[in-house]
Amino acid sequence: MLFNSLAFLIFLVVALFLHWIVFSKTAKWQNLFLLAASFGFYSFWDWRFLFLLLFSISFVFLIGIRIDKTESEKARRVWMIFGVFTSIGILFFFKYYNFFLSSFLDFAESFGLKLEVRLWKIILPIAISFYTFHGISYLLDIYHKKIKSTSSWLNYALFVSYFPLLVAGPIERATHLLPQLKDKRRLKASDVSEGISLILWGFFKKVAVADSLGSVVNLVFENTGNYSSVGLVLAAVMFAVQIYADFSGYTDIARGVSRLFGIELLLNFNFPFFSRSITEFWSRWHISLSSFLNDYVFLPLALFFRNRGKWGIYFSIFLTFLISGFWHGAGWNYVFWGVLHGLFYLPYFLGKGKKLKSIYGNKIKGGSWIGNLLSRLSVFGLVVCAMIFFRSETIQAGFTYFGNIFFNSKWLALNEFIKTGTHAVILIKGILASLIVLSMEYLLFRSNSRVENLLNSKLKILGVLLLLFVLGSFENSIEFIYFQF
Amino acid sequence: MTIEKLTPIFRDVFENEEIDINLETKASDIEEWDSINHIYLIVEIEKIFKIKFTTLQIQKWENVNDIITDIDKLVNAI
Repeated sequence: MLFNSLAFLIFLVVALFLHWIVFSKTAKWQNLFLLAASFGFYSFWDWRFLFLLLFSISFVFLIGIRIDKTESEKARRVWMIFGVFTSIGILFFFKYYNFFLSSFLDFAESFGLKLEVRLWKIILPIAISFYTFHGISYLLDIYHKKIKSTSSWLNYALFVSYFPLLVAGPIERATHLLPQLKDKRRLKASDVSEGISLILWGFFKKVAVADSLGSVVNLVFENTGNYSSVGLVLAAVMFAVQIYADFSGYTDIARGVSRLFGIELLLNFNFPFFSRSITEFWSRWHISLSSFLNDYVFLPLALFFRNRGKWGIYFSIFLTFLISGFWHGAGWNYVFWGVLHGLFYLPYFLGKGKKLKSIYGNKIKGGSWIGNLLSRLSVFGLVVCAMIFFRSETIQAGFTYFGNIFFNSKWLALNEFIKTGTHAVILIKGILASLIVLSMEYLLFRSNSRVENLLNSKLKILGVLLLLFVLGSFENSIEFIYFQF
Repeated sequence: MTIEKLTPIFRDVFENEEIDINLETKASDIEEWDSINHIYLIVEIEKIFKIKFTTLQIQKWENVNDIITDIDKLVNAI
C-alpha cells in the first residue's frame, strides 16, 4: 500500500476515525489500535513476513529486559552482542546471503574455478533494514544505560512497527518515540493543520518533482549513449533532485500522517543541498540514518582507534560509509557510493594540521557570498558524482556514464530531450516544480520570516493543492525509491 | 575540576578563541563540535589529565557537566 495511493487514503481516514473516536479512551487502547493498524498495513505488503517482524520485535524486547536486569558488566555485554548479532544475522541472511554468495562465485570463476553452489530463492522482506536498525538502537541504548528497557511489549512493538515509519523510516530512537506513547494523546488543532500541510508538501515533492524528473532520468540512464555531455550532466543533477524530493517528500508525508495521530517523528532532511561542507551535508541528509551510523558505528570505532592519530579516525569514517553503502542495498554500486563518500573526507585528513581548511572543510563560517556559493556548488557536485553510482545498476555502468560525459562526440544537443515527445512536457513541469521547491526551501533555510509566516498559514495548504493540480504528473506514479531498502 | 581548565582545551580543539562553555553546554550549541572534533576533544582531555575514559562513560555524556563529572572521578581515582 503506497502512500501515494487511493487505498492508503481510505486506510488513513478509517484509521484516524477509529483512533480518535472508537479507541480514544486510554493510551493503551490508542496504542493497541495503532499496532493492529500497523500490522494490517504491513500485511498489505506481504503478510508472510509479519511472523518475522513479530519474532524480531519479541526477541529484541526480551533481550532488552535481560540486559537491563543483568548486574555483571560482562554478562550485559554478552546479552547485547547476542541481541545485536542475531538481528544483524537475520538481516544478513535475507538481504545479503545471495549477494555475497554470487559475488564469491563470480570471483572464483574469474580464476577459472567453477563451483556448483545453488543460490536460494530469498525474497527481501519489506522494511527489514529499518526495523532491524530500530531494534539495534534500542538494545545499544539500554546497554549504554541511556534508557531503561520498557516493560510494555505493546509500546515496544509500536515503536518498531508504527505504520508511518515502518517501511522507510525515519529511523526513530526509543528516547524520542517511547515517551510519546506513554500518555493518552489528545487531538490538537496545530497537529492537524501542520500534519496536513506536511502531507501536501510531501505529495508535491513526490508527484510534481520526483515523479516528473524520474521519468526523464530513467530514460537517460537506460540509454546513456544517446545523450550529449551536457544532457548527461543535467540528468545526473536531476537524479539528485529527484531522490531528494522522493525521499524527503516521503518523510514529510510520514511525519505529517504521524502528526495526525498526535505523534512527532524525527526530522530526516534539513536543507542538505545548501551545505558548505561534506560533514555539514551528512548532518542534513537522511539525518536519522546518519545519526544512527554516527552513534552506533562511527563513535565506537573511532573511540577504539582514538590513539592511532588522525588515520584511526579516518579509518573509522571510511568503514562507517562502507557500511552505509551496504545498508542501502545488496549491490556493489551502493558500496562504491559509500566508498566515494568515505574518500570525500580524505582531503580533510591530508591537511597539515588536525583539520583541513579547504573549500569543503567545516571552518568557513561567515565566508564571502562567492566563497559560500563555491563551497555549496562543490559539495553539490561531489554529491551528484556519487549519486551517479547510486543510480547506475553496476559500478561499470556508473563509469560508462562518466565516460560518456567526458568522451562524447556531442557535448550539447538541446533537442535531445524534446525529441522524447510527451517527456518534454513532463520535464518542463518537473524543472518548474523543482525550482519552486528549492527556492522555497532556500528562503526557509535563510529563515525568511515572511516566507515562514506564509507557509504556516492556511494559504500554504491551498497553494500546494493548486500547484499539485497544475504541476502534478499523476500518470507517471513511481514507487518511493527508499521502499526497496 | 573547574570549567576554567576545560575552556582552553575546547578553544584549542575547535580552533575558535571565542568559545565559552558552561555546565549545560551541549554539542549542538557549538557549531564546530561535530563527531570528528568530539574524538579530538576526548583525546586531548585524556592527554592533558592523563586519564582514560571508558566507552560506556563517553556514550552517556549529554553536556559539559557530564564530562567534568567523569574527569573528576578518574582524576581522583589516580
